[in-house]
Amino acid sequence: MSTLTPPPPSLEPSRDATNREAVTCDHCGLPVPKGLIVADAEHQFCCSGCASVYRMIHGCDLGRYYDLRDQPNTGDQTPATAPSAHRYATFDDTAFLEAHSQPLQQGLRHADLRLAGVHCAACVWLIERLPRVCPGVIEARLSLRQTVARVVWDPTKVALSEVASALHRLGYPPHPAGDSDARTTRLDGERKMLIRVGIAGACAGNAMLLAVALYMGLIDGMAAEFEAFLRWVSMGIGVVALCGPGALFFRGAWAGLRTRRVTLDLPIALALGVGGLAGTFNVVAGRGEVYFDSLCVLVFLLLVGRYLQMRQQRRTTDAVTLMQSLTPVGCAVWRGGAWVEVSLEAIKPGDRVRVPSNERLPIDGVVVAGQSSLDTASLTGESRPTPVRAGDAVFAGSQNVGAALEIDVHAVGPETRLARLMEDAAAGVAAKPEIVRFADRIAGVCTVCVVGLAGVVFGGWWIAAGLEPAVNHAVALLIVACPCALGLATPLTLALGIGVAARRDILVKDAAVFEKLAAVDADRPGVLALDKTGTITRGQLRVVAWVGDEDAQLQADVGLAERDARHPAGQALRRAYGSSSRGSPTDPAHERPAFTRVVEDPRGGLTAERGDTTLHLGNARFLITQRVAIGTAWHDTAERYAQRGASLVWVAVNRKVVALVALEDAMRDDSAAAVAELSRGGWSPAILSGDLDAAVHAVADELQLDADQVHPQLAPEDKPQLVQRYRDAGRPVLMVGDGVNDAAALAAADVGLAVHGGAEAAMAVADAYTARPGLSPITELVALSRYTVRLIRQNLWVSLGYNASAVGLAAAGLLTPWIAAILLPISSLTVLSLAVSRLSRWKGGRPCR
Amino acid sequence: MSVIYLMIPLAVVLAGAALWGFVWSVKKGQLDDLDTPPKRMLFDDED
Repeated sequence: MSTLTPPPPSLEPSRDATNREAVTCDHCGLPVPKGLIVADAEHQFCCSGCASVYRMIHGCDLGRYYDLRDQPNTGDQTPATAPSAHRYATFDDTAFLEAHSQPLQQGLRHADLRLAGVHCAACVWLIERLPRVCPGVIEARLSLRQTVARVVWDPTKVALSEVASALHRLGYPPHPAGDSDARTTRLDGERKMLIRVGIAGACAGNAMLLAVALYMGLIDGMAAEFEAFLRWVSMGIGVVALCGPGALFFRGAWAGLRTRRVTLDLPIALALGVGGLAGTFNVVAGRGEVYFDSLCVLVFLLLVGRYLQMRQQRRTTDAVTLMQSLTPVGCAVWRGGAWVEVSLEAIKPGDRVRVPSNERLPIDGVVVAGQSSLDTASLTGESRPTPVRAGDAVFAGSQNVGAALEIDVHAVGPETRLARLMEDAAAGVAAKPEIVRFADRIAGVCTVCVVGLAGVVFGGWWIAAGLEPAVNHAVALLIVACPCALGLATPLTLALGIGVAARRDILVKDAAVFEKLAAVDADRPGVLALDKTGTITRGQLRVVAWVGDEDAQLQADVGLAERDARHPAGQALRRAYGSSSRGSPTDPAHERPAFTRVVEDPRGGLTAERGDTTLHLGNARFLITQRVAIGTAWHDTAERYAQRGASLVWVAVNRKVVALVALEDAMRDDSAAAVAELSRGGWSPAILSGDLDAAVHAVADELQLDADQVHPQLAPEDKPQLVQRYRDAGRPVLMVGDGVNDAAALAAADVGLAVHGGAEAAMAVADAYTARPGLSPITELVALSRYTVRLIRQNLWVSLGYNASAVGLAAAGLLTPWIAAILLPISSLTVLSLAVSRLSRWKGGRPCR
Repeated sequence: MSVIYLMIPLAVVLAGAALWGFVWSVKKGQLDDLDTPPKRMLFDDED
């Protein structure tokens, strides 16, 4: 994000990051802007937010956090936010406490808070030390997977708002975890499945023990009464396994039959059902084989597979949670002649609210007073802030980067444009069709083959040797032909694939991603739909050229004037030329005297005065209002940069233009290579951007994209429609994005992938997201998908080989139960060890193979 | 050998007890979060 570019010496912009010795922030690990480096200081910080978090952590004697965390950030991490930016007063409303917290014994209460910015073990450590930071908190427990902390506190000693601000100061802005119902349902499902696995495992172990005794009896001889006893006990265990945990497969097969769908449950239920009936009959009749040991093992192994599969499925998301992560929890409202801070729920259309600088808008409305700029990058994808004034319509979720605004509320909560967008996204996730899994696809063929073979064997043996051997051999065949390896090896291989991806900083939330990505190659092309701002580019303006007077003192003045800039262009100038008040003595900026007056104009400019020197910085429109003429000599240069989509800042001293600074949202270093690589692999690239024409086409040219695949100035609502158009044309879509404006498109695509540094909402609806900046993780994910799916197919052939040989033995009447009991687990074991050894050796690869 | 009439039911009862313990721990939520506790145990108990 804040890689530093020094002003290039020539007119040609330099794209390379600086070679200057990098000083990184002691808190967030980002490079420290040149101007903020304090020469003799022990610690360096990239912003005041990081400095205050660092001091707070050390002030509470929690410095060990810095030893525990994995490693400092390598790239586009967000620095800590300034603690003053948020207010949590509304957390103390009775209605809020009723809705989001529960009472415990002794007057304590507990609340679940979803925290932003949680990623590693050090976060667990820091957050769980909350009682020390905030006295009155009894306990804080964090769940890494859900990033939800359960906080127990004593309301008589501390208010929830104070707990919330303490968390915020630590760098983890909290939001109420409102989706407790959905989380409970999901947790219940997982617990039930785990209990099934446990019961089936216990049954399988005990049934195997009894089976060993019975087989020993076959060899050494055993008294008939003992044998009968063992067979009855074995049947008891088998019935528990089949009717308890195994009932899942019967229900699944029945549900499939009723909707005329063949799933993998059908051949499994067939084997279990026939085996169970035949075994029971044989035990009661006192002769023939009992199959319960094999059946119990089958149930256990298959349930392990189901459990893995269940954990791989994506979490559902609801629009409300997505909304919460994007809007503040409260706002100042004009009530009875004064501004009153109220919670979001209390704001009604028709109210007048005041949004101070640097806050996000919580509502849709129309500006009635004030002039400012709004950063709508995450909402619309526009890389430059848009100026707003009285009469302009504004939308929830955009950030006020200029002066305070007074806004008449038109829509709140679910009525806002942002909420509707989030609803689209949540609906898209819910409507995402489950792919017909590879295993289920061949289940039909499998069932037909097995039933057919069993019929042939039954008929053959009936004619040749009578009814009893015919039944026995057909039953044995049905059991050994049960596609156990399919039911276990596939989910296990996918689980291992997810693990390999995670080690490469790609978090796959839905295993179906592998099968979907592997389905595209040069012969069956797909569409790689890319967002521009923040995805292909870094999503932050950087100085690419300083044209004109290259006086170091002038540049230092520019940095000094922009010291408190809130406008992204001003911040870019500060990062490039800025100096702090504690600046080093060797820095030319240090000797620059401070300006006596600095006025930031919301129309996009700034006036700084010192003695008889007046410095104007701003866009052309601003300069004209300040009666600064831009000479015609500048025309060509300005035109050239404007055509590439750069933002221009003019520098004028005493009403005379002396320099022109070009700012661009530069492309990430690996974007071009990754896009080229993927397009060789069958993914034809397209850009879906909300940004302006020139900026989008500049990037498209650099990536050498066809003009008809470039879609600039898309409203967030248009993106999912465009994705749908590609899908309707029969091409699978891999959507890559980072912003809120991409969320609905991510949900609508076959595979939605959120990139590092993206909005929480985008990550929540995506099927996978990368925890490493850049686009190169995508090529790795595509390569890994192909590898994993190939491995699944190979394993399938191996297990089919086992099944075929067992079926052959059974058909010939040579398959004794103990051979079946050995073959079954060995076939599963083989595919498992194959999967583990192959995937752990995966060293990456190219997606275009 | 008739001791197996006692031993096997006893073994089944024992297995049942262990299984009950497992089910109890799952229902109490002890196996809900498998990611955080392994990290938590690495921290020193300095307080």
